[in-house]
Amino acid sequence: MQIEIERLSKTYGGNIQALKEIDLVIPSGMFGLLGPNGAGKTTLMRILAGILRPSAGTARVGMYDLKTNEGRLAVKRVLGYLPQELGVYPDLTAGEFLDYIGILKGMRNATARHARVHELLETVGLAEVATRPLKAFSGGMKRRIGIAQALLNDPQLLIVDEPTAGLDPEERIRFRNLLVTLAGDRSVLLSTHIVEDIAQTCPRLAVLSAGRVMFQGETRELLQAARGQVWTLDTTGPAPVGDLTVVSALNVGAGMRYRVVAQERPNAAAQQVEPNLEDGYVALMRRNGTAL
Amino acid sequence: MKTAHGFSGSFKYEFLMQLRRPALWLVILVTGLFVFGSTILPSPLEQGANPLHLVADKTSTVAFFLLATTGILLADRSPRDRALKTTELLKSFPTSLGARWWGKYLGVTLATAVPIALLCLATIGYYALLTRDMSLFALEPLVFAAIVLPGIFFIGAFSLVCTLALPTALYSILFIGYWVWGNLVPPRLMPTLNCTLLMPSGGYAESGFFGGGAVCDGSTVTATAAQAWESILLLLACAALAMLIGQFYLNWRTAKA
Repeated sequence: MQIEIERLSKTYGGNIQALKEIDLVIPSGMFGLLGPNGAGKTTLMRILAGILRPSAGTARVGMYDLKTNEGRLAVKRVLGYLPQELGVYPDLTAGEFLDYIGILKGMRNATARHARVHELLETVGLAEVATRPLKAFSGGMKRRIGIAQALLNDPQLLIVDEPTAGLDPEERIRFRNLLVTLAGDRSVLLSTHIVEDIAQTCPRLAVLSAGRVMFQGETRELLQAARGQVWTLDTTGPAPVGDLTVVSALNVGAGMRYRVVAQERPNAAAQQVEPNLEDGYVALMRRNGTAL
Repeated sequence: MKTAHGFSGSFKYEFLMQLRRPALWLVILVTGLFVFGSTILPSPLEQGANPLHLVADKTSTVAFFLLATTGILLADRSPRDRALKTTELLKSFPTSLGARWWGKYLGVTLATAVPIALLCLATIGYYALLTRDMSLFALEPLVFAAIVLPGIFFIGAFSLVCTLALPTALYSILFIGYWVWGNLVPPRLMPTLNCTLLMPSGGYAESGFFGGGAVCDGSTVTATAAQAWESILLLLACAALAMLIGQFYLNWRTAKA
């Protein structure tokens, strides 16, 4: 299910432009969406989920036009959506909550719906607490309920916003693998601040900043953006300064080891290293003048 | 059929959530005990009273106070989805907003009616013991449906609709003011809904169907069965109209997004 977006804009309240004429093609399979806060990622995902209407331009999910009511309704029927801030009903048990969501998603066969709820509770490791009220759940457990509800209707389009926030490392890896397994002939749109999640799962991605698409293409191409610009330097003195961005700082014995992105070698002791996706993202943001 | 399915799901789970609310039971129980202690227990049993008249009179008395709490107990239901941050998720489902809206309305309103009905039943149970007439129980569902339910639907609709625009606390205060103005203030003092067909405490139904009648401005309401029907239909029509306005407002807000 391919998503095609052309000159898509979204303006709030008449003057706040969240998206500015973006063009984007999202093929089937896993696709990552990266960008700083306020880049327009959530607005884009809400439009693709049929929650918001575009102000201008077109957005098509498969054969459905998101500018029409019929198109939005058709997309909702094949959609699994996990918003960044997922609320639950504290008085319902996990099983009841998922059953309610299943009904609202149009799953009319009660036997099949109950079986699917049970299956997904097993998948996210919550089957044993299925009869416990959600008010007794931790943040991570609620996140897993959110993941389960998104998968209930076996969606053709899965949109997940920060899905691994609040999960422990083991759960995060399990969920990433689950997403990859689910992808295939369906589209999975993953928006996250955790670059590692995209590096591990998405062969293609787009980077948004200030409502515009800064980059779209293969993940390894973004990595190339930082080639020759990533350095490590060990020092016992102050942190490096100048036209560079410190990506990480590690305490090593008496001194510090900094990993920086800079066009020029920061000092004579700096060692050039292979870039990773985070370096590529930082280099792209530097190139586009977005301060980090 | 799809709309009906979404409606039934919303009805079922909104009903369950409201019914599981400890505040619902606590408020109704405390109010019920107050009414029982202050009104039911001190009033002597009228010997040879018509059973239907007795059930209607006592149900009406208990329900009058309990209905006053209904508006407050329903005031948080509309803003709740926003407060719990479930709105965005709900909007991503194919079930129409109308199906969810009406399902929520009927679910939460009927759930609120459950403890009120149980307290009315307990009151009738008390009189059944005093009069040794168990047939009073059989009359209670009919009396409750005619006198109390229309008022609950009326209040429920306005509580859901008004809190789309008003903060819950402000609405609760305004509702208490409305209840006093619309049910207790005599018409000779100022224009009021009291003593009119739009009186939600069920005085017209009580008088028209069961021969009793609420005291209104110093005298007893005397109504015909036709007027009782008129009152019930008017209350339900106002509730339906308010709900439609609420649905229109929600659709407009969604279309604007």
